[in-house]
Amino acid sequence: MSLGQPLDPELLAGFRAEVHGYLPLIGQGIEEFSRAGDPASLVEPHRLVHTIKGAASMLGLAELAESARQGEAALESLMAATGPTAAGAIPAELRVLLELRSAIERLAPSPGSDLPRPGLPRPDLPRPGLPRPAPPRDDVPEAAVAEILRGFRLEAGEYLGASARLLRELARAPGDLTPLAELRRVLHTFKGAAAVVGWERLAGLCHRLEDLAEAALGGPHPLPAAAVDALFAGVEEMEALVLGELPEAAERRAAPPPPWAGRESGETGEAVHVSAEIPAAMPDDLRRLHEILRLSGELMVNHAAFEERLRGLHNQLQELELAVARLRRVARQIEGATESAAVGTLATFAGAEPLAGARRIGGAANLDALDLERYSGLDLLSRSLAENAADLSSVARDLAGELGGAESDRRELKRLTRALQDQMLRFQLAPIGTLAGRLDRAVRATAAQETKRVDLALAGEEVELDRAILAGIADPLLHLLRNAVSHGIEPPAVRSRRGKSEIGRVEVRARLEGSQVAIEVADDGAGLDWAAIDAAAAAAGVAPGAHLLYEPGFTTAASVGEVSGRGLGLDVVKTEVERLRGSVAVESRTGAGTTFTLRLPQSLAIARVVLVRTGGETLGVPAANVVQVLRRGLPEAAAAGVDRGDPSVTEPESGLVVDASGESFPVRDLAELLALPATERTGARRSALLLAAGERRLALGVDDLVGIYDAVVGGLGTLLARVRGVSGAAVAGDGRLLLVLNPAELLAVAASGEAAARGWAAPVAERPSVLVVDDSLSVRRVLAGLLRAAGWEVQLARDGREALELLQDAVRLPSVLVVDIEMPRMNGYELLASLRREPALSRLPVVFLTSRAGERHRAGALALGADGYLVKPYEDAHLLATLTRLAQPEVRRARG
Amino acid sequence: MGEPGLTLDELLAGLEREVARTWREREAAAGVPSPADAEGERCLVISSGSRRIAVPARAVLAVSEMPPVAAVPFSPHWLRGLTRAMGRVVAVVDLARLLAAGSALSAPPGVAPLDEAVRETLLVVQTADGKLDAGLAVLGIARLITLPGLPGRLPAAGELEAWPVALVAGLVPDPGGADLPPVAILDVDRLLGGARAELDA
Repeated sequence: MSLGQPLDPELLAGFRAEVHGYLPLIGQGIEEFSRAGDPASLVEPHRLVHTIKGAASMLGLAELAESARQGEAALESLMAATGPTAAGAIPAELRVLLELRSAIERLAPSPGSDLPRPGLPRPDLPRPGLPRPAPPRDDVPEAAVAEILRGFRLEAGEYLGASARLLRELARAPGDLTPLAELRRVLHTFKGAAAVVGWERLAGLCHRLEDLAEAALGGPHPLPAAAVDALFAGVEEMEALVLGELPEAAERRAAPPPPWAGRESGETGEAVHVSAEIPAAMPDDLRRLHEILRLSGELMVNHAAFEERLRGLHNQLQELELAVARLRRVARQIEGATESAAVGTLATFAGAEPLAGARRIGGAANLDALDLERYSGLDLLSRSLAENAADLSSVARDLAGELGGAESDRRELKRLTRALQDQMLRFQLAPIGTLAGRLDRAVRATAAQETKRVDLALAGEEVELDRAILAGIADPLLHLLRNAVSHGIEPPAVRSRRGKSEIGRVEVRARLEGSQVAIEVADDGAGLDWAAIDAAAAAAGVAPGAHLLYEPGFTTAASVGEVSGRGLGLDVVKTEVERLRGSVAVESRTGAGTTFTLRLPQSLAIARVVLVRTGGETLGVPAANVVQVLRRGLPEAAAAGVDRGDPSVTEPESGLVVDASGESFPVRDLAELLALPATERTGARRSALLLAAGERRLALGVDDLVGIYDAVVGGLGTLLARVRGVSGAAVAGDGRLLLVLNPAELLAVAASGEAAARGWAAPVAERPSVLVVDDSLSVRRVLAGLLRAAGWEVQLARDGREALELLQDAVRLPSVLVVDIEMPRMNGYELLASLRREPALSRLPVVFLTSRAGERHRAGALALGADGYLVKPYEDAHLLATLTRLAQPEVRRARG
Repeated sequence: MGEPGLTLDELLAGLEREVARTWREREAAAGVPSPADAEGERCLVISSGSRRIAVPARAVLAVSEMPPVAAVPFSPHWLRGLTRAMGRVVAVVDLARLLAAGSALSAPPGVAPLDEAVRETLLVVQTADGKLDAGLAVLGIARLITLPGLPGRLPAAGELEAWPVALVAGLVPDPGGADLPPVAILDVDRLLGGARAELDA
């Protein structure tokens, strides 16, 4: 390239990728030199700085070339010094490398660098060897473009996975050029595909890497490590592009900062970068996608509301059908009575004198024309009533048909909405394999730094994950991999002594588990020294266990030697994973290796939640953390105090414990944990969720289980950035907002013995509640209006059987019942008798409200155990006073 | 007011008509000029105890009946919870509790829960830069009034009893009469900023 010519942005991007790949290695060499003072550590940095100088000169980057020249000179000066230098500090001579780093940073394009800039060639100009990009296609609908891009992202994931795999093979055997040739072919295809969809920057990167592979094929063999590194760096840059991240963000994660940049925290410089919020890292298209997903969630919510309305209409229709049936019955009775009356009258008259026509009837037996007219009028009215009842019945049938049609439409709408949501979710996912290059590079760089030989194996690269989660877990995964190499895998000599292969093995295995993705990071190294960890715990006066690894600052450095520092930074890994609604668990056998398992939701936008009710609130618990559900079985088994198979509930001195699947789940009440108002539900009416988050287990006692739903989980608004124990808010089927809990944080709160210190914002005094049982719609409406206006919570039932079913399923029993006597299916007496026979319901106060004023009825009700007997018409004040008196807790307790 | 589905503009227009009519009647009866005719700023005025509070209408995004609220654990007593308004999630701040809380926005002892029977209104407000929003739970129905002389005078020492003075932009005479306490103009930016700071802490 001749000087003065504008620099091709694709070349610049490729150069940036290359030199950014060199920086960590230069940093590692210098760090090693500053630690041990061995000039041999500077050989590799010198070679790399030299390479930067040459490439920068070739590209006409004079400032950078000059900085590299000075750095090279400084390194040469140190390398020429005789004998080891003082360890512990970075030599002053190397400060010039700071300038080199700054010069490289200045190469970083602005986020909008994809746009044409003055003095630079327009990106849409054809370049040699690069397929001409597709022109803007105004005629293609946006939906089609989105579909093309979606398909391309999936395709790109495959190319990236293949590239990373081939590079790993190349790194293992640099003398075998077969993988390199295959890589060149993959890159060529990738380039073509990227150009076809108009993704120029990616196509340019492919083009440059393809050139590099081409040059390497014709170059010296075996391939120099720097060339493999450069290829890795290029693939990494492409991964960042495909993942939709900004280049700067990708570079920040690509490697730990060089030692001269200063350490963020900790002793090893392995601080994990944690972005403040997922949305901040999202590019625009991902944001739009999240918004569309949110809207599709709203559609589901509206659908649920529609479903609720249809259910209401069905109920009203049932009421209408009952009313029509009653009307028809009355019409038939009137008709029958009219005819009987007429026949009776005529029979009386016939006994006096034979019928001889109307005129004679009227004249001789007092059955005059007026009587006959009256009879005819009544008969007509009766018939008209019957006809109207038949008409109403016909309308009800038509209405039922229309409702059936609407129900069918609703089901279709639900199917379509769900299909739409599934499609959107798929667009949001990307294969884990897109991280392969970055993971591989981290292992290689760390192994080189530690002078260890390590193979990385990836399994389940095709498993797909929300792109926001993928971006969020990159740092934790890199951290675990560096830890595995640095602290897990033993030096070759030690491995050899222990009978292991000198080459350590680290595996990253991904698999789908329902709506969750499990990612394991496993090594075959020394494993954790549990005895040392327990000793450190004892010294610190805390309970032993794997949870200590995630405690900030926890270390076994003083006592365990080579595995020391294993826990450093794991607290940050855990925090980041939990922020993504995931969990971390560890398994390790001393001497045999360690496996960290991250469990994450496949999607951040949609979460399967178990809805529970407790303390008057409805809350969501991510189903991924629910091991088992105990429906209304918790205290019953506990009260028995014996094992009841699987799960069993015991009550040792330490408190209630559920044993299931070989694990113990200490019981805590969710209402107590969150300082919600306690409810009256006791005994066999309590339910529990057995939860697992990382190493922690908990049986969460709740009032009731509502069901399992796929919820669109969003943020908590602008005022509340974050609430401990809560991962987001979702909209329930009835349009209400409900909180989705964060089990990991909740279990941490439970383990700490802490409850919501400040409690809930607005504890509302529990209102008295009443169940009105009457077959008359009008009576139910009037009573409901009166009682609600007086501050009562009102439930309604149409007959005794419905009331009994309601009570048997109730989360919270009503304070009192108001019951009619005559009702279909189960009358008031029968209901009362049933209540008094059932232990859980026998104490419920019951007031009869009936039109039966006779003493016989009153005595019958009281004999059965009624607490009050009021006759319609009643006085509002009297009814309210009676109910209020009976609803007092002490009155209820005194019953029975 | 209170009708579900009523937009803010419709509500404001209706209220404005109502206020204008009332003032015309008053003007006719007493022969005094109507403040609604004077230059001023439109505010939604609500009652809190014996004092009336004005929220500048430019900070109000929506007014509705109080929707169901999901309570939030580990939160200060003045945060009623979260609700949905205008298709988004907003935190609901109990204004009476917040004002009674004092300048530190900390929990005061013995603030009784709201009487369920009293109708509540939700004012969705937003800071001038649009970065923060919240719903203010207020008692009774908000009325739209044009208040002249905003932001008004600074309150004298002790004039606002326990109220956090920082949340009051100023005091203006109550147009309802000289014998009434002055109307406190709420500083929405400070209110939401302070609430956010405490929640973050």
